[in-house]
Amino acid sequence: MKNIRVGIPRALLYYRYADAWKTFIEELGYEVITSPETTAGILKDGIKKSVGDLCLPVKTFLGHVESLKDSVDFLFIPRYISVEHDAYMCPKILGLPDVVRACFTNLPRIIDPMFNIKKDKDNTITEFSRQVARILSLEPEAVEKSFIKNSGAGYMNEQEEYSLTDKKINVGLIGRPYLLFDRYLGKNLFRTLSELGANPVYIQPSENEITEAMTVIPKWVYWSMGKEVTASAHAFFKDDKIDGIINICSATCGPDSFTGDLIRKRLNTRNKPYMTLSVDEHASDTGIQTRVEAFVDMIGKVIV
Amino acid sequence: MTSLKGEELKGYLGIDVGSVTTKVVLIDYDGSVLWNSYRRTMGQPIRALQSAFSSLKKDLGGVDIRGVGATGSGRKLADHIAGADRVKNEITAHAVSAIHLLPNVRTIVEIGGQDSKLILIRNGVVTDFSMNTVCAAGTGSFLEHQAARLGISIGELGSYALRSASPARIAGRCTVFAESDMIHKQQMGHNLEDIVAGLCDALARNYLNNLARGKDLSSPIIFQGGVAANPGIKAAFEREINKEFIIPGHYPIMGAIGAALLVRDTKDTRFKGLSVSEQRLYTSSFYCSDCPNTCGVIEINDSEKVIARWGDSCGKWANMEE
Ligand code: SF4
Ligand code: SF4
Repeated sequence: MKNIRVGIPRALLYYRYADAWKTFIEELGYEVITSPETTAGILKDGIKKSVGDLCLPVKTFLGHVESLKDSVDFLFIPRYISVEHDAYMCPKILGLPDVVRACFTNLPRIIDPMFNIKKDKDNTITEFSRQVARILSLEPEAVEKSFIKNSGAGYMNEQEEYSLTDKKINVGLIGRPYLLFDRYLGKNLFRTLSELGANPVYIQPSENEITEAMTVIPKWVYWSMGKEVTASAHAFFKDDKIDGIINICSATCGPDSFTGDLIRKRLNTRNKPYMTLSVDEHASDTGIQTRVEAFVDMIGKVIV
Repeated sequence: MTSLKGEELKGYLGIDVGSVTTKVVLIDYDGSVLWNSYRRTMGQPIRALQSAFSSLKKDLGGVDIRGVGATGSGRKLADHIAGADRVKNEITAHAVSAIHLLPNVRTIVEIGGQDSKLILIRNGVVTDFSMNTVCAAGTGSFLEHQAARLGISIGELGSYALRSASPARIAGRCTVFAESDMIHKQQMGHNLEDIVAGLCDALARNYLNNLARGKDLSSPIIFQGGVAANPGIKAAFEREINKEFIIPGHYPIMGAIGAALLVRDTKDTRFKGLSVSEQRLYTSSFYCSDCPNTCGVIEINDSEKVIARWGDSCGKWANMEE
């Protein structure tokens, strides 16, 4: 019998939940197909498909949908509304399945279960699994069991091993994982920095670090990833071993301009070099390269 | 390279290949400019560089070039063609030359043909910078285009602006708006002087909004880059923030000077010699289809031989031995 294939676009929350999703779906007996890494072509397709005012990562997501849609039986695009009781995902992520439906005709069926802790905390997973089960005609209990079993797996990216060194210039990187770890969108910052002799550092802040950062910032951040970005920034500004911080964000992202503002206003950004790199589809690679080089020079205090 | 008549001229070469202009300077160890050239890139950076080299040879005869620094958006190309000892980004290069000129400089405003920069300096080191490469509304190309539309030369722009008694208020957020607003003001009967002065104000305001927001522009402020040629812009900036803008004598070539200053301690230069101006160099490019990245790979060819390649993300073309 031919395998039934479920496609997962390599964009947005993929960079957080990929491993959990993959093992979960495979355990249900399906073959998982993921789209390749973002390329100029994928982004171009995504831009072609977009309607209205979409941010760069969502446009990219559409490009990944395009590259998958004709070779899979289902697309897995869950609707993540909230993953913790006091914060939401960005509105563009909440509406993702709808955006995809609006931008394409002839799509395979979309598996779009809702994950919303704020609605009914104790039954979130049950409800999520029930919706998956309904679309795939499976037993809800089996789906739930498999989801719980696999939900611990995060997205393991090769860059996560980037940590502090004693010798080199350490540059803390903050930003949404789907920008930072998408090598095309994120302009390969990790590699660029290493080539310049600097050491890129990335952290996934713990619950405690997030809570601590939120006490420093009088205004609570209501977006899950925005909270993480702010908390990493806070941790990096405090850490003496971090010589400078680069915040990579999407030029047209509402939540990012909000968190960017908070970081500038509430954290002591003057105590070390801090730079925001805002990327969009027009950002030239040379321009980014020039800024990163100049930033590393600035930390190294290049003088004549 | 030995010269027949006594001591040969020694110097350090700075090359700044930008998208609009290509600048080459020769300085001595103390940083004094011995020779310089400023020409349009015209989409042909190799040609621009080669012609600069041949005029250097013509003007000075034999020169002992002890080091070469390259900067500008075409710095890699310049390196591949001429052989550079250091390849530096424009921000650092501009900062280096401004600090060399005025050690206590605190702010550098640089506006070139296609981009603009703001660099903050404290105690002789860069502490912050911003750079605008996306929006054309604050750059030389924009000014030039508008001057042409108004039927005056770019060189006259400044004197027109300075003659204005009450600059027209032009929306400067973006090139398209500024242009339609200027047309509107013309139709309303504002005189040319006021419109040109308004245009200068718009450019200055646009620069300050885009690059300087929340930043402390403290004096001394150095204003460099091609646009500093225009006294109307200097006046507009001074009006806007009420501080003096100092324009160095070599304002259009400060990036190249910075690149040259950085190589003054070179031991054995990688410079390939001024004769590269006689080589039959041309670039070509192709898209690699070996993986989904489809990188645009650029090649420099000398006659039929490929002498350099770059643009590939994986490095397989750049490192290929011919
Ligand atoms: S947080 Fe920003 S970048 Fe992410 S999906 Fe929302 S708008 Fe787009
Ligand atoms: S040059 Fe390398 S990275 Fe680029 S398309 Fe070819 S194989 Fe892929």
